[in-house]
Amino acid sequence: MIDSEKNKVSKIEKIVDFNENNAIEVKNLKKHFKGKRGMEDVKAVDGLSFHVEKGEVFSLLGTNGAGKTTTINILTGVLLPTEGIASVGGYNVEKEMKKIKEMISVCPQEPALYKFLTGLGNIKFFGNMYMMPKDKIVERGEELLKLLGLYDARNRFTRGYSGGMKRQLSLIISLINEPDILFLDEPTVGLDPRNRRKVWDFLKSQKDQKHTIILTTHYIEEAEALCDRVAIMDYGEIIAIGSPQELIAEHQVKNLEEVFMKITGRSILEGI
Amino acid sequence: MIQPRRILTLVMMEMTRQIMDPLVLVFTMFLAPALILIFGLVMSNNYGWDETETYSIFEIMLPGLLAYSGLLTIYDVAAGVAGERESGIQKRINTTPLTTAEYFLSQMISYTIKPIIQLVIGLGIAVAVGYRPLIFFGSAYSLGSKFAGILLVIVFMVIFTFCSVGLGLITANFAKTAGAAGGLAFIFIVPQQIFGSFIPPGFMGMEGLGWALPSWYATRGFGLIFAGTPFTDTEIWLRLGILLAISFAIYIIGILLYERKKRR
Repeated sequence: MIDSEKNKVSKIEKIVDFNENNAIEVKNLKKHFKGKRGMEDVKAVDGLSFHVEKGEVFSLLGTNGAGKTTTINILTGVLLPTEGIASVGGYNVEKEMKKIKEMISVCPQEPALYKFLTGLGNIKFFGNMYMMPKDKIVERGEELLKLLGLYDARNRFTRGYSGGMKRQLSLIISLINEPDILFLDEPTVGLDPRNRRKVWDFLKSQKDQKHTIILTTHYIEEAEALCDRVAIMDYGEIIAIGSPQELIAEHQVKNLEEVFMKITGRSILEGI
Repeated sequence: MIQPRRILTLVMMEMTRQIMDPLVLVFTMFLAPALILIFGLVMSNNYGWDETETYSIFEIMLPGLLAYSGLLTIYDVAAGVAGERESGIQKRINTTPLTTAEYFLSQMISYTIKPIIQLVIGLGIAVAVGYRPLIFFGSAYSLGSKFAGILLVIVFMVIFTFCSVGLGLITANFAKTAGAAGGLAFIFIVPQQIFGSFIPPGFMGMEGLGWALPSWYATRGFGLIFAGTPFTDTEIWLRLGILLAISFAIYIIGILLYERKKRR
């Protein structure tokens, strides 16, 4: 058997090994970007292994450049891994992205909205991408708009929205298709404390909706408040993983920030 | 499977974008008709390009001016797609079940509507300033021929616009911002504009360059139809066929580049 065939078979065998209670499984995942002008390759993600159970709220916590967004980008089909394997909903991210896209939704770091469409117009656009029944899009969209206090602004063009409103609308859009697995890439960056709290309360309410949520953040309190388990990332690697309580107890410190400091000798907020 | 609803949603969104951005609308919708009006008023009675004094400069330029409206689509598509990438929307829609085929089809449909509107406006203006294409005004042509002529002009425009949409999508692959894409688009626009649209390449001794430029096939095709060339003439169909083949090749390149950019 030639090497490429061997690799194919071994990958398929590994996929079969995946636990069906897990929404996400990642094994030795690597993403290296070619260095420009003779520079060394950038190891954005370097050998990640973790799993996320169904219904769990899981956080990738780390400084800027730790590899959180790259990991999310691989799991959502934006990037291909350099090495390793990952499954989302039991499907291989390299080969079965079509099936994965039917069950996931992503709230990206940038609000990524059509500024010349209204708030409800943006919701309808993305609802149509998921082929949802039209009345269901409006019904669910309005329900979510009410929950986040954007209902009165639903017919305004989003170019007139404040930064906070755009972020909240982006979050609503990511929930419109009632995804099994929801990826939130730094959903509260740039929000004032009041709006951040509002988004947290909203996300807590979504915990009961059986979504599996993968959240990247560099806000310690966000990870502590929302997540069942946390993976602390640094330079493309996971340096600690567990529930916030477990990690705090294991390192005998007061909070996750101190866990990070104890392991890396730096503050997680450095450079932000 | 291709979902028409997703394509329609994207087309509606693109049309809204084009209407809501006045600069894009004016630049890409009214530039060619405005040029037709200006050249029509100035050059209708100037026969300096034709020794036999049969065709005025305006009559020689008109097919190219009409093709020019399809040419500007390159800018429109390149700036639009790069702008979506810049704002993160491309990345977001790529995480939805939307397929590349649906995306490309939506782009082809939404950007073809405007050049057809420009074609109608442009021809209307040309007629208003005195242009009388034989196929539509010649008494020797039946109503069926006139209708077939209109249809063929539209087919040429549609296929030529498909080429331009493809070139726009290719351009967008090499630009990080909408501004840069708009600038880069002129790499494809300018040569086609100079050597294959309203300035006939023959006047510069560059007739041979035409084979490489989609606009030249469209321009010559319009010219042949307006001049009342019989539909049995192989040159019309040869030019249409070559335009179709170029369009096909451009889309293959465009799709490959888009797929590569979509998931690195």
